[in-house]
Amino acid sequence: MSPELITLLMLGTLIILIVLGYPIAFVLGGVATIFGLVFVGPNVINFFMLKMYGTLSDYVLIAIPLFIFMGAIIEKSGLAMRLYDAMHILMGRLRGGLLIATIITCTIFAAATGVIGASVVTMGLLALPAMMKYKYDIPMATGSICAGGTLGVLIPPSVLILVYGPTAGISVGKLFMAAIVPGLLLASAYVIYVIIRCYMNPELGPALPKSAVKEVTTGRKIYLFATSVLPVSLLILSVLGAIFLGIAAPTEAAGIGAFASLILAAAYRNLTWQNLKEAVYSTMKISSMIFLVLIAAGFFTTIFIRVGGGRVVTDFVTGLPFPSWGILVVMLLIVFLMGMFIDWIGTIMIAVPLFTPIAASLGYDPIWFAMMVIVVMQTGFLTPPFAYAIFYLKGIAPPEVKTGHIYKGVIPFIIIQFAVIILLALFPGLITWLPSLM
Amino acid sequence: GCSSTTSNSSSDGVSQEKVKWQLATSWPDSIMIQDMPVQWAKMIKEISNGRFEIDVHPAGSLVGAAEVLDATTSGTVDAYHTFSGYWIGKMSGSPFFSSVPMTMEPFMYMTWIYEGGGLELWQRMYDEAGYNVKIIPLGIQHPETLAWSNKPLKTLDDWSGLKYRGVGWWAEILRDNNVNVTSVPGGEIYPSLERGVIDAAEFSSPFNDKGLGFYEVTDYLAGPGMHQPSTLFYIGINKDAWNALPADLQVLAETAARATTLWSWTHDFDQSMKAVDYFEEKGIKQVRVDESVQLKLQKDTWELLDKRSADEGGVFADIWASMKDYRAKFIDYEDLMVPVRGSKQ
Amino acid sequence: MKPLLQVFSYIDRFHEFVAKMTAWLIIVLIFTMTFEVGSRYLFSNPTIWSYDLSYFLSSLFLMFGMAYTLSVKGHVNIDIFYARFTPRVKAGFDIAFALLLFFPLWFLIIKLMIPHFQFSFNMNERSSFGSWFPIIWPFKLWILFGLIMLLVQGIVEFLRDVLWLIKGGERP
Ligand code: NA
Ligand code: NA
Repeated sequence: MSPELITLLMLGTLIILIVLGYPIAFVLGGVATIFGLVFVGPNVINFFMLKMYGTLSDYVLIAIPLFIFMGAIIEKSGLAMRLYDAMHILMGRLRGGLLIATIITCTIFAAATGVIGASVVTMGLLALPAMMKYKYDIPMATGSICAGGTLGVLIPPSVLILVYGPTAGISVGKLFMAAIVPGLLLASAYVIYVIIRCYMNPELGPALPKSAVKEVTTGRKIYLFATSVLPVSLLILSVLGAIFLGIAAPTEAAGIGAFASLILAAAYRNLTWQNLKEAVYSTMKISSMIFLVLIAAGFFTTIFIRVGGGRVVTDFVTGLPFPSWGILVVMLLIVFLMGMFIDWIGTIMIAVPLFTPIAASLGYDPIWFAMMVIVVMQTGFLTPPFAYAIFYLKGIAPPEVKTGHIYKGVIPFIIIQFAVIILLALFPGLITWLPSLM
Repeated sequence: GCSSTTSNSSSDGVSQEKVKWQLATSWPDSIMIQDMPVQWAKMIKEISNGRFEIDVHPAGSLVGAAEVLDATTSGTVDAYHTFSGYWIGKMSGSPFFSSVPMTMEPFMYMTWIYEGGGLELWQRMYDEAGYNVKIIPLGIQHPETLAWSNKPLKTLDDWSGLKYRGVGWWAEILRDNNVNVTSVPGGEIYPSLERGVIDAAEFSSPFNDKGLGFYEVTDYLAGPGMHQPSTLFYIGINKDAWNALPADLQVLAETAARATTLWSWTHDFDQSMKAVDYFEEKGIKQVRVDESVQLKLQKDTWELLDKRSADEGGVFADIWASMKDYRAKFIDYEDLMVPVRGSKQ
Repeated sequence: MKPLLQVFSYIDRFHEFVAKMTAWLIIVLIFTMTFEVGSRYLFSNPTIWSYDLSYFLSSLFLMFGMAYTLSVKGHVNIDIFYARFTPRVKAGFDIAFALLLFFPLWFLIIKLMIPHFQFSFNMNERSSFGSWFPIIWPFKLWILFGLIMLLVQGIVEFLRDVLWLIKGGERP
């Protein structure tokens, strides 16, 4: 059988079986086993064992459970509620104020957690009922929560970047720095969009009546700010600062961040036995899940390369009769489509080892290319039909919120994503400037 | 093994077997060491007229850098290229075949390996440990850069308290001399030097070091390469794959390895010479550690290895005894035969 | 049937117990990391053991959590279509996938790892990553235990699906 046919068959089987609903890790591992046994031989199981040892002893990846734990503790510390309450009071009287409050809270939350689930669920439970109570437009409200939630995988710390870095052979610390400007750019673009839309059509996000916003003195406002935004900012700065200044490797910074989050939760008097227990158990569950996918996806990629699939994809992409920016667009498009059918870990593990050398040979800066791929993947979390942010929100939203509302709500934000991607392509310095200072 | 062999009949009726191997290395594509297996595979393919083809995969593509030996002994891949010292956790004597501080320079080392019984001892160590691999030396480098630093390192006082990146036996010896040794991974050396996480670092030869840009963040380059007077690399081949290889291709593999080894040695030497000139232009000051320090550290190294030999016995002790014995004879012979270098102009 | 379901629930609870006990090692990991950074910066004295210890700790709770995560359906899947299937179709798909995708790999990897572990144990293999060089075979041993637990849980889930296929309705 020709390598082209094997490649097509292997990817096709993978996608069909994943879409049929069996756990992704088992599909990746199982498909690799079948193709490996048939086209290579019984020895291929060794690849799986070696991948397992390698993944479980990878120092960079240890940051994943640590950042997940840090996010879980922050979630349970009541910090999101404090933040949102403060924002509510500070912004409530503005048109679309609760939307702005939601996006800002999501952005700050994104800098303290590494995954999207935490912020979508927290804000879905906190901000959505409030916005519905004050007759905010449901698509607008749900769209903001989903878009804000996906910032969690972009703004550091980010589990996605932790997996991307070692796979592409790029320093995680540099990628963290590179993600800051695009993340803030997206957050600002969301806010500006919300302000303009609500200014033009106040029905979308009416300003809260005076009675609904607590009348507070400036001193009280400062106090609210100081006890919500300030501590979490210090936490974020300690983690990112330690990496930026080279005091600690990302893994150590994750450890320090987790430690600091415990102190923060204790300071808010929310470090209860129950909260700690829940954080520990959910960290174990989510990390076990992620590592199983990592190992299986690594095994799949190895077998894919071993049967010649890597060469087929590389030859196909580099053989396209396009200028280099055209090939770049094709690669980003493939990543976007893969993100629809295979989960993000699989997408990174399969596409990144193949595309990174192609991008380098076309003369693109590796960090810039990595960040373009990451922003495209982050957009994928938001884009129907397969969109984690939408799944999470639908799972906890009140019944009057229909999936159609959320689909309608995310579309403008997806357009904003594409606008920012074009901006990042035109001005690569937006990505490369911060890491170049390290 | 998973090597694929297909039979073709050529026009004159002689059976011409085609062999394809998968080789995994411990290196990324970007460093010169990876060129050693790549050049070897290219030479073999050309000389065999395409009959023997070897796919060279960088670290992480098929298996991770630290997994190449396990992958080959089980036949998951046919061969690997690495640095024997990586297996110190599997075979305590493994660094003897990659580099020994203050012991053997490249010519001495290669003579011992090829002619003085070194290769036989090397193979014996892997056999005794239960690995199903055949050893073929592939690639050697001249003494490495001892340290990139921001202060001159001449005396033991200069070294005392220094935060230095180093590995293996050398790290142990320096620790006993009050040096604060850490094992920073290759890719983290540059930022660590830049921000003072470490004061000094060794990595590889000036040629390889140039690519990593250490000269941008330090002021001094210290020699001589006491810690690695030479660095030897090798190919390990799954024995079943090796035994299945036609006799002429076996000869070709070994001969091409010798040719590539000579190429890597002279190429690294030449490029490193030019790199040092380049560093000088960039304002890097060269320092040579005092001879008394060198002799002290040699004494420490030898005491350590003598003691280990006494403790462990077996192949470890045999290797060390053979190395020391051969070295002594080599030095005596060179003293007799090699003229002084005299005038340079 | 009742006693069989009883056995399944014992196995579930055993895996839950093991996972939840080892999960607490994350706290030890956090303190190890914080101690290492503190020790390096405050006393300029990096530890030689923190590097190897950190992946020893994380691999323990990662591997020991996998079976439990399977028992609570915590391994991510895309259930857009799956959620619309009838119970019997769901059971049928799960059974087919388990036979095709799950059992071959998990059975073969355990079969492979037992002799590999013995080899490592006999040579008293040490880690060669950092500068501590601890023995590495315990790491390989608990990975093997984690895989065996995962396989056992997979068998339990498979048998539940078979019962489900026969009976339909609520999954046993
Ligand atoms: Na984040
Ligand atoms: Na070195």
